[in-house]
Amino acid sequence: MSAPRTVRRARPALGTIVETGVHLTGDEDAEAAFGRAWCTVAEVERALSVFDPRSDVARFNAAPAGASFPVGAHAAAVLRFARDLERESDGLFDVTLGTGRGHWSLEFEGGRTYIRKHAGRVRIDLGGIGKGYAVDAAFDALVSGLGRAGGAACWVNAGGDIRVGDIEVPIWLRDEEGGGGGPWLSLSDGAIATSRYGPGARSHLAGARAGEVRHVSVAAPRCMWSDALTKVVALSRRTDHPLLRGHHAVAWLHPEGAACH
Amino acid sequence: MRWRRIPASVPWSIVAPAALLPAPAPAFAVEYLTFDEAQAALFPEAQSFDMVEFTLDEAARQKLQAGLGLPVRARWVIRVARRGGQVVGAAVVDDVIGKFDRITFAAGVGADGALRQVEILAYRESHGGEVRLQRWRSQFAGKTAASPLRVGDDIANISGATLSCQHVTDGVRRILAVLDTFRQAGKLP
Repeated sequence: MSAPRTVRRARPALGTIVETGVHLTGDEDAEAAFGRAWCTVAEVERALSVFDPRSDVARFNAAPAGASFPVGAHAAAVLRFARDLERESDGLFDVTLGTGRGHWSLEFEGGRTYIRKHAGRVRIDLGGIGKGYAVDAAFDALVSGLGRAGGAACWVNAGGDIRVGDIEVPIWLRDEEGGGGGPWLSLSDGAIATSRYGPGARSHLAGARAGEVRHVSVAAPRCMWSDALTKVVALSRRTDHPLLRGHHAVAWLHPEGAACH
Repeated sequence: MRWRRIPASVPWSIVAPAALLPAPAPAFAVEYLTFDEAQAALFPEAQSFDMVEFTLDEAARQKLQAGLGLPVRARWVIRVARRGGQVVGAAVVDDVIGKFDRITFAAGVGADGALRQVEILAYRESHGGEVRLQRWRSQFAGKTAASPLRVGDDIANISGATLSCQHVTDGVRRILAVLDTFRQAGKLP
């Protein structure tokens, strides 16, 4: 038996740096498990990318009004959750980014999911949810690659959207103004995502006042949920939004200028 | 899901002597792979690696900089991967600096000039400038991904607004162009 040790790897993917980590207690093959996780990340990226013309999302965006076509398992899982959250949040969460909420739908036939476009102008962008989904999918691949169907001491971090298994991982919160940060939360068997909207930020929030900064973290059992719910909390400015409870989630609105506490 | 808040530590303003300096945010850093580990991961089929060092002449350097729109240094260390006498590719390490982060990465490029894979060797993030960065970098000297790590603070992850990996993408573009220049000059097999 090898001594317990932690192995971490990182690669550029999903437009950010993606890290996979595992705490090994025996002779598990971390390299093979990492390989499965990276393959899954690439697969999800291909399915959800706005830029790859072959992706399900790009095909939808290019399609004319009335078009309907089957999508792959990754796009189907994300779109299904996006559709439900759009409805439950009364449109606060909107993957069309204001181009036509309610003008797309999903249909299920013969075990396949079809997406239908009801207006030519509708564009879908899964940027606010896809990374969280990719983290979940990579995490599942990592766990199964380690041969631990019931859970494993491992994690996946895609530029701050993190899913953690059976291990307590200290989470630092980045100081978005000055860089660095400090210990903030300890997380196990769950996920966390952080978003910051405001002048100069990479993410934009349709519906927020110009110049206003909203910096939100959400912890939830799944990273796709955390990622998507940061938008709901940022827009509603409610850390007690009913949708959080429904997803077993906890939210924090970070005060500006406070790096960690 | 289980979580708990990590209690606030002693404020930095109290720790800093006479509180003369603005409180810096503590640095965050992870070392993933050494160059040796990265080259083995990039070219698992390789039996040996030769280290070669090339220098771009000023004209070539200027031309690359103009073409890429990026700064290009003159000296490059390249690990040439071989299997049974055949060159299978080259691994190159470079650093890129973002707003608050510095990333060391290795690119593996096949003998055909195509990018195989990119591995991050180290990720370091700090408040402020290079001087402070150098100071806290030293604490990681000699530590590799293979060292036994204590479960605890060593495995900390950082959450925040998504960082762009654009500067890594630019760095990879630079390595591909530099290797191409050496190949065309007949220096690289």
